[in-house]
Order: sequence, then structure tokens, then C-alpha cells
Amino acid sequence: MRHHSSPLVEAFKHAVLIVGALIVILPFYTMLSYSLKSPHEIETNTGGFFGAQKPMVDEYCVKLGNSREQCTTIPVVYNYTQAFKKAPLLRYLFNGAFVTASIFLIQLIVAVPAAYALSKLRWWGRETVFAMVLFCLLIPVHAIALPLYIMLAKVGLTNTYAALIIPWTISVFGIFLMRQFFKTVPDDLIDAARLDGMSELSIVWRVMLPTAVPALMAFAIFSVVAHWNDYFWPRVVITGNRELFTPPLGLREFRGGADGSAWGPMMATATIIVIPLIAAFLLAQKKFIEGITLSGMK
Amino acid sequence: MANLKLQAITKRFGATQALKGIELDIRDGEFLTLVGPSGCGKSTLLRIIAGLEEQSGGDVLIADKRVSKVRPSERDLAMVFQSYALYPHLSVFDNIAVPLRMRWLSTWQRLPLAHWLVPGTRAQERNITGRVAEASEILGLQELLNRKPAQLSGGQRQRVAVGRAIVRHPKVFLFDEPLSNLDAKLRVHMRTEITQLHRRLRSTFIYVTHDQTEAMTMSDRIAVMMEGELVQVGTPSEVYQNPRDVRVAEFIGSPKINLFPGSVTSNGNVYLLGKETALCLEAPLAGETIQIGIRPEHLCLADPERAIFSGVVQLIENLGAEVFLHLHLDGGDQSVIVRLPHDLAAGIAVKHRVHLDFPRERALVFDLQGRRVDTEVAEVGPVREAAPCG
Repeated sequence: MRHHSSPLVEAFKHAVLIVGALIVILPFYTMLSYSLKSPHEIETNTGGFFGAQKPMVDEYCVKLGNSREQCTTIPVVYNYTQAFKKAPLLRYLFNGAFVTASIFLIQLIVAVPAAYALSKLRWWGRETVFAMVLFCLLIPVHAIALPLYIMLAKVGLTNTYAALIIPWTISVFGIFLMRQFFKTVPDDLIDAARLDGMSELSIVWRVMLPTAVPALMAFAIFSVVAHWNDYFWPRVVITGNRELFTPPLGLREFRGGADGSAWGPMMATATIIVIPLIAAFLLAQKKFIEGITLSGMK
Repeated sequence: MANLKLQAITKRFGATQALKGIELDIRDGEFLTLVGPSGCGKSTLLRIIAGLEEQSGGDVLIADKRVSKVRPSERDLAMVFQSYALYPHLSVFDNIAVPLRMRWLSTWQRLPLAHWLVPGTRAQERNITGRVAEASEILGLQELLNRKPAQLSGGQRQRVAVGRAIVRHPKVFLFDEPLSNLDAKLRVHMRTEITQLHRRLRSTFIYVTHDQTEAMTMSDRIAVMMEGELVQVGTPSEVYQNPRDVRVAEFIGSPKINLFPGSVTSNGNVYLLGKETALCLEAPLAGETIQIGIRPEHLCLADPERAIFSGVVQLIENLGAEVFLHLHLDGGDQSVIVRLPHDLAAGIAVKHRVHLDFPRERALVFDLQGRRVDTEVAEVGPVREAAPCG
């Protein structure tokens, strides 16, 4: 069934959507543009999107005793090489990937069986436990950050990967999302699996998990985006060791020192950091939207 | 193959008593159908047999062994579900192979990649492939083995579900309304396929359905369930011709049996709609109100002076070979359905008056509680003999 509304209403709808899209895109536009321009162009706000790409001299390089010819590059090359030179960005990217992947995997190992038990098994107190899960959804991370930090510090885990991963391993959101999805899986399928000789754990991993791929994709995006981009928690628990910095912490390296903020390299770093996420989203877009619609969350 | 005994099975869901002491002996190799209206407890009973539901009381015996504490997978029975319950992420081959893989392979042998390192995996996989090939040949699934369930039609999915059940040669097959999701034509086709499968395997089949046609056409015996009780167990013709309860008479048979109010005199003579019928009760039930059931095919056209009742045709359903007449009887609001061979109904149209009679030995009499009461035809007078009823 197609619903036709008047062109005026359509135009208005599109206008609203276009404005919304522009508001979302603008920071990315600025980020990308700054990562291409020379410091002078950024400060004077000239050069359009790409900048003039006039050769520029890296003063820091000259100070190190190199000739001016050796230190002349074009801005885009300067920004992106600085991004990798000034901070160990590859290391940060690895940390980010390792932490995000570990968090997601452990979240799955916890959430999938929990969601199965909450949706498909009958046991005393199930509704109460589920109510508690829902209640936990309401607790903001920042409210419990301090106690969490103290606990981790007491057991000596600050400045470790464990400190970055452990607090996130139980995702109530993941449990909730998977439970909602599992509720749509017919009971017959589980009964059939039981008759086929599967144990409850086999059912979880061999039947429920494969059928829940769309929901998993949705959860994966939520989880990965949140933890890849997280600045707050790594900032709290990683206090000295630069080896453990995640990409968002890495951005701090470019914050103003004696010679002012290095906007170009900083934006180049930011661009590099968001690229994996955007690529992943584009690849998984269809499944992701499927998952969101399936789970009834919009 | 095995026989199966149900002893005093009860099941309570909170305050409601879903099953009220079911006693049933199912013979080895028998095709038994549990039939009844929805909510009568037949599916619950099947799930108790399968072990998917625990009974509140009573025992299930498979091959004379008590199985109440045995897990579903170890009861050696297979079940086909109404929704097919195929694993959506596995191919047809893998779907059929699952029960064997879960039984014949160890945990290590089931692990992806690692499994080829375990000795004996290859031989077991060969056995499994052989058995899957055998099952898919029986069901004509050879061409579909690489497809996913989503790429199959309803009938094909149903066949895969049956394949998954037969592949491990279980003692007992359970079917839970397996044909309800199919269209009418396919349902008739699958009916014969399942009957042939039973003839071929000679295993015990327990088949749950609410469709009395399925029950009548497929089974060796029918067990009719009503409100958590087994009302009657017998062969299809026994249940049809000799129902022990008015609910059975109403449930089995399409179109539905005609029920008339009647009464009994002190000497046992049966009156139908206030008219004498020449029927007599074997045991006295004097003064009570009774119900008299006459199946649509046992009503026949009669001469006006001999007819036991007359009515006006309201609706004619022409099925080709036969015709259903829906009548409104004179005096009162009793409706009646008559089933006539096509030729006999020729010339009858809506609004016509029709006169009816019935062979007395075909009448089924039920008491106030709905229990069947045996009757005999008291007098075979000349009038009755001349009635054109078979």
C-alpha cells in the first residue's frame, strides 16, 4: 500500500531530514577538511574544503637541524604523517581493536545464555531477575564510575587491559536486546533440539546464536561504537601508561602545548579513528537495520 | 519399535486440570491418532510422552520401561512439529544429520576444524551421510539437500522435518498437527505420504490432530479426547458408527451429525420430536429427556405420509458426487443437514418442501449426560419396511 501525501508535505519532510542530515554531517565535514589543510589555513579559515595544498615548512623539523628543503611538505601529507609520528597511533588502534573485541566477545558469552534463560527457561524468580536487568538499564555509567575505579585500584588492576575490559563484560542492554529477540524464536525449535539430543548449552550456541545473527549485529554495532569511541573510562583507569591508550585518548596528544593545538594532525587522527567504524557500518548496514527493526527498537 | 503405555496421566496447570487420568495402551507398530477440539489436552499429552512436559501424576512406559525420569533425547522417540522447527541456519542435509551428529559424535568431533583430528570422525561422518541419503531418498529430498529451509516450500519443509525424525530409526514417532500449516491440496497429499511411511517403517506412530478427516483416513485407531479425558478409543469405523458419547458423535463426521431432542416412555419407547419411532431402549430410562443423533447420510427422502419429519430447504451445497441439503424442519427451529447422492437430489431446489425418514438401526441415542444408550428396533412394521432408506 502506497500512501500519497501532498508535494508540500513531502517537501517539508525532506527539508527537515536534509537539515538534520547536515547537522550530523557538519562536524565530520570540518574534521575531514581540517585534516587536509595547513595550520595557517585553519586559523584564518581559508582554503575551502581541500585547502590550497601549498608546500609548507615544518618548523619543528627545522628546529631539529634539518634543512628547510628537507622539511617542506604539502599540508595533507604533513597532517597524516604527524598523526602517526607524534603519537603511536597504530598502537592505539591495536589497543582499541583488542579492547573492543574482547568486550564484545565476553558480553556475548554472558548475554546469550542469560537471555536464553530469561526468555525460554521456566524457573522460579525469572521475572524478578528480568526486572533487575531492566532496572540496571537505568543506571548511568558515570554514577558508578568512582566505586568501580576504587575497586579496580584496590585489586591493582588500574593501568591494565583488564581495567578497560572487565567493567563492561556484563551488558544489561545486550541481555535485554537478545532476550527480546529470543522471545520471537518458536519454542518448537528448542523442543526439537532437545529431542535431537542437544544439551541446553548446545541449544544456546548451536541454535539460538545462529538464529539471532541480525540481533547480534545490532548489538555488535552498539557495543563496538560505544567502546571504540569511549573517552571517559579509559581516561579514568589509564593514568600513565601510554602503551595502553585507546584511540580517543590518543587524540589528547595533539592538544595544545607550548606551540598551540595541532589541529591538522589532530583531525587527521580523528579521521583515522572513525574510518574503521564507518567501514564496518557500511558493510553491515543491511543486517544492522534488520536487527534494529526485529528487536522493535527504533 | 515399541509399545507405549500411559497410566493415569494427569497434568495440572495452576488451577486448571488439563489431563484427567489418561489410560491408554498403544501397540507396537500401531498408527494411533489423538483427536479432539483445540484445548482438549492432546498436544499436552504428546509433549508428556515426548518428555518435553512433566506430568503431574501417572506414568509413561515405553517398551515396558518407565520413562518419567528419562530425558527427551534418551526416550528414543522423534517428533514432527506443526511449525516444522527446522534449524534456519543449517542446510537440509545438516538439519537431517543433527540428531545423528548429536548422538554418534563426541563433543570434540562436533567442534568445527578440530573434529578431523579426532580418530573415527571420518568413518562416523560417512555413516551419517549414508543414513541421511537413505532418509532423503524415502522422502524424495535428494535434490534439496544443499538448500536452506527458507528456500523451501511448506510441503518440502514438512518433508525435511519428517526426514529429521526418521533418520535415526526411533522406536516411536510423534506428530503434532504436522499438516495444519499446509494448504488443502498438499495436506491430502502428505496424508497419504505419512500413511505410506508408516506402512514402510512399521514403527509406532502417535499422531495429534484436530482434523477428524486426518484421524479417520490415516489411523489404525483413534483416541478421541475431550476436556482432558479420553472419551473413546477405537478403530475409525467403530468411532464413527458406534460413538459412545454425544461429543464424539458430534466431533467425528462431516457434515456434523444431526441431533434431535427426544423422550422415552416408561416401557422404553423412544419418541423423536414427539413422534413415535419404533425404537426401544434396551435398559429403561423412563421419563428422561434424551438426544437422538442421525448422521446426514442416514436421512433419506420419503413419501409424505411415511416421513417422520418434513422441512423446507434453506441451502444446497453441491459437492459434485453428493449434495448437502440444509433444511429447516416444520414446527420448531430444528435445522437438519441431509447428505444425498447427486442423482437423488436432482430437482430439489431452495424453498422446496422435503420429507425425510431414516433407517431405525442407524439412530444413535444418548442420555441426558451425553452417554450412548443401546437401542433395538422394536417392531418392524410394514410402513417401516417400505421406507426407501438403505
